[in-house]
Amino acid sequence: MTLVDAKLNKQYFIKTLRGEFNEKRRLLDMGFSPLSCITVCAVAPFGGTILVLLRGRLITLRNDIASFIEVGFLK
Amino acid sequence: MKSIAFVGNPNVGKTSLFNRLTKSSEHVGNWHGVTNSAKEKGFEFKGKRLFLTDLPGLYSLSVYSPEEAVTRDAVLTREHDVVVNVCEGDNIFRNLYLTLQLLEANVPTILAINMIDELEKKGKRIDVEKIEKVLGIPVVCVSAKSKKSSLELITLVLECLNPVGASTCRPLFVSEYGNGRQVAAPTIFLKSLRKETLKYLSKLPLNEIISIIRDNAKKHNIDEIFAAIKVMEQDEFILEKLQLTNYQKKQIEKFDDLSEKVASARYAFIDEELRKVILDKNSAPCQGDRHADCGKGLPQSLRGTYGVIEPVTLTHAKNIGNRSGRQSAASASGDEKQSGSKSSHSLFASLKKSKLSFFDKIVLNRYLAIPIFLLLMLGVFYVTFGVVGGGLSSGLSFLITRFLYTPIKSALEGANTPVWMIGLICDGVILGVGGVLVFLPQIALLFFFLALLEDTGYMSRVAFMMDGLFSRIGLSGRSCFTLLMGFGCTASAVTTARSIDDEGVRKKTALLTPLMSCSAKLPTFLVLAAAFFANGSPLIVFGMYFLGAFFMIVIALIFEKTAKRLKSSKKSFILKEQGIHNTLKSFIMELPPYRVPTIERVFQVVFTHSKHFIVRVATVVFALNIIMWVLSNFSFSHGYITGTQYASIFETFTSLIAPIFAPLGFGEWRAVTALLSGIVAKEASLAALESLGGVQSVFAGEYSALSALSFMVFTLLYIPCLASCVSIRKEVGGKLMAFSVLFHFVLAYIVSLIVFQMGRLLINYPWIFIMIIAAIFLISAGFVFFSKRRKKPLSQKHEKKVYIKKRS
Repeated sequence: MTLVDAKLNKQYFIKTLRGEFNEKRRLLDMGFSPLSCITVCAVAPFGGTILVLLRGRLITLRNDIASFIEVGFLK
Repeated sequence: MKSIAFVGNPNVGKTSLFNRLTKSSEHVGNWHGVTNSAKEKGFEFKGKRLFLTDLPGLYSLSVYSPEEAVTRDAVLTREHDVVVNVCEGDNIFRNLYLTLQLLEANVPTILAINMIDELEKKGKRIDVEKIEKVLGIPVVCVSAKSKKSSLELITLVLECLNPVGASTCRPLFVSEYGNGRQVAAPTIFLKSLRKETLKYLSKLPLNEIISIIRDNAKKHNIDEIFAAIKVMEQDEFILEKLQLTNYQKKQIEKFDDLSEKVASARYAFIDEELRKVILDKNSAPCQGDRHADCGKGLPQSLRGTYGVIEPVTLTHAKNIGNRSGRQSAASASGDEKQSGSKSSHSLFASLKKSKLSFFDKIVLNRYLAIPIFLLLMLGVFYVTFGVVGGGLSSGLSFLITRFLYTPIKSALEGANTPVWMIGLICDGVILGVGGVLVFLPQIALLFFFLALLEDTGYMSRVAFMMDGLFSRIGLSGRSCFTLLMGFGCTASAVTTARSIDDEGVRKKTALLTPLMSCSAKLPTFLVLAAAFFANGSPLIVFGMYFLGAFFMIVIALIFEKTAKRLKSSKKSFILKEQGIHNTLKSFIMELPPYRVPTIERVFQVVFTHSKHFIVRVATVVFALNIIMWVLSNFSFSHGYITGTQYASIFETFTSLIAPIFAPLGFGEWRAVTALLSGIVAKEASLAALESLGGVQSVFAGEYSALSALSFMVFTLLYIPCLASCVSIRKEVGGKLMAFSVLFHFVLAYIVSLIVFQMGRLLINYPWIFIMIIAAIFLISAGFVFFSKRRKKPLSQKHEKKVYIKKRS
């Protein structure tokens, strides 16, 4: 299951990251490390972009990147 | 002279600190990537001259955009004596990730925890001693809002640069923040203790990699530990620098993907070693000065925890994963028997805040977001052009006429001054330049609102909500910053395009920003709208802004569909030159928390831009206007010719090109003169119109209002001013600048032509006009409908529906 399929306002944890080195490293640098907790908070009005809460911070990313993030359901 | 550099994540307040210390007024704002080039300034501190450099923010030393490369190069080449790593108190854990990288690179670092006042307001404090012990670098709490704490930072920096001696731990100052902690001269600074301090390095196959690349690193003068870590992270910049042979590459490939492991190790280290550094204000009283344990290493209580290497969070997540029957993807081999009670801490610490704030819930609501934004913009423009701004500027205009124009004119007439002199001073200077100057209140108001938009953090939310739309027209949410700043000043807005990761998007954004009506065009719109559209003048001006934004979207769409060069995000020459090998096509950005804008900063913005406007009017517009006036009122053979039938120098000249504009409704030489001076500075456009007889006489005749409207549209869209052209060239190159000049001219010409001809049709033959509009609407609707059907295969459509269902 990737972050794209995650339900709104539910807590997940990051299992692993896919993608090429570039995307992966960028995600890691921004705090998307495996086992951190993540919540999808909002979807942009025109779709395609989501807003996630990670480590107490809001980060917005597009679905193409979100699909690199494998998540597991937490609660 | 010692030089200090500020390095840190974006939006942690580096520039605010820089401004505070050097008393400068560099652009700051509550969004990520405000600073996009290194800013340098010297300042005096206790009789010593220091040189401070403010660098663009970055998340990691692996960079993705040109402005991040500036910082990386400055850090890696050791340009500066010391690097001050600025962190945000509220977000310290993520910020420390960069700190670890700086330490890996063996850069002399001092950690400054900024915005500590925000944290203290929440009743929290930071255990500074603990961070110092774990990382082995000096740490100080600061707030850019307080001068005292900023100076404390410099005191500490100086002490680190010129240590008196390791044994003398003399107290320096009592810190303003952190319960009056007494800061002493550090002794732990700049020791090459990386392997001892950064425990996580032992978990990585560091020595193996170093043994492979050691010679290359030595040859190219790169620190071997740092090089090895970057090789693990597959950073192409370092990989290329090392010039590894194929054999070496193959050897490295034997280790499977390590980038995740490196990052996880860093985060685990932060979570494990530093997770308890944020304390409640009253718990565990501060240990006071560092005299006692200065240089003596770690206390016993801390040593125990170093044994734990694997992230304790791992165990817990695994437990949860297994309980819910899912196979955990975590691959690291953690100590699974770790007790749950201890490990749950850090995972659930991050769980506490997992929902949006109430305000964000409304503002970012899927259906309300865009209407709220549009209403807000309408409100801003209404206040700026309508009641408040309009009232203020008409007051100013009255004052100028009453106390400058009339008395000076009568005084000059009384003193027998030559007629041309009176004309020059009264019409050329006072009416022309003063006519522009009266719009100071509106421009100040516009920048006031822009400052609010920036400082509250709402602008980043706009970027988020627009990204969905922008991604479809080949822009990204980041373009929003540039485009919104374009309402203020195109030239300075274009420079913010640098922080856009994607090359194609950056070029497009730079080309489209001039379409957002800048504040210098505002006076022209206001005067023309007031003169020809008495009832709906604020609406007409707002319409101009809307038209600009509308064309921005349409043109972006056209570029996306047609221009291959702009569409592709291939690495360009410029990027390669700057050593950027990592590119990210997509959009990922952090949203800042909401902050209350400080009055000081908002007024500073308004003051700076008002000053800029006045200076511009008093110099460029003033000089240009005198030249224009002289050229327009004198002829080669007859001297001063106003009131006579002879053609002036400029009239003979511009009359040649004026007929080109006849189909647009303003084939008048004075209108063309105004447009020409507008290329130098947009404000000059109105100044020229006013001094050459006023707008009423320039746009006369049957279709006066319509030709004024056409002129407004042309002003909105045509060639960007010189300053903008220069910054476009700087950001995207000379070729695209030339393209921009040509493109904006053609666009303005076509649109004005349509406006004028269609308007004439509407006045003369309303039925034909309505039929044409209906036909265009039908054709375009049909085109959109069919092109959509052709493009999307069924399966994709289906997927999308499923996705939308899931979301809702």
